[in-house]
Amino acid sequence: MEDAGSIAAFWVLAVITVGSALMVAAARNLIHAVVALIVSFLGVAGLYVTLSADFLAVTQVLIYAGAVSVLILFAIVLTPTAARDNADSFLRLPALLLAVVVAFTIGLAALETDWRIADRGGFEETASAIGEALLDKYVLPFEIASVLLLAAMIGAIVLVRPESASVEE
Amino acid sequence: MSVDLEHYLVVGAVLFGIGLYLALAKRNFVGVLMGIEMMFNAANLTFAAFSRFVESEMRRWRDRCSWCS
Repeated sequence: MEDAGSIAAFWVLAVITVGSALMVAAARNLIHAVVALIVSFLGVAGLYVTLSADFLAVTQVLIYAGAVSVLILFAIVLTPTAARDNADSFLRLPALLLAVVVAFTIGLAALETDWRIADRGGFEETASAIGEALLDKYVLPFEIASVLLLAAMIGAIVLVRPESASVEE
Repeated sequence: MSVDLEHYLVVGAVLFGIGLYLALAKRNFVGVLMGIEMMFNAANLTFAAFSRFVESEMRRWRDRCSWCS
């Protein structure tokens, strides 16, 4: 990744991601925090593109910027208006201290470690390889995961079924 | 000047720290959930960066091993 466009793209995306993540922490209204969180998710998707992980980027946009943020928005909208403030609890200062220490430690470990850097090729597509691996070599775990998701979905429907429906039967 | 593995790891570490702060310090549970999702994102970003930049140990073993498919 040597050309100027990729470098500029990385820095712009990194600033967008970290800046909107900070806005999530600073926003007083939960709706504003969710909007900043969506921007942060999209920034991470852009960072995946600069890592030549195209399938991961599309999945990030679909799952995180689409499904997870809609889930959080529903959770906010369907709760009473009183619960919409994004205030800090009494743990604010210890949490800030711990977060700074953890981020500093991870960053220092990342900078100090002598990584075994591989010579990497150009931009290659990964989606077809992932699809082939899922449906050829790893087809059994794939099917088990889909059955598990189906069981979770049916279980959720059964759990939230109103009591009157079972009385009528 | 180029973008290396360490740049991505530092971005992931900062994102993880912000997510940890959100998960610990927010009073509303939805805020805690947002922090947890942000930490997931940071971990995924570091995984993708490692997969892109670091030499695969498993691939070296597979090349050395003669009988595995």
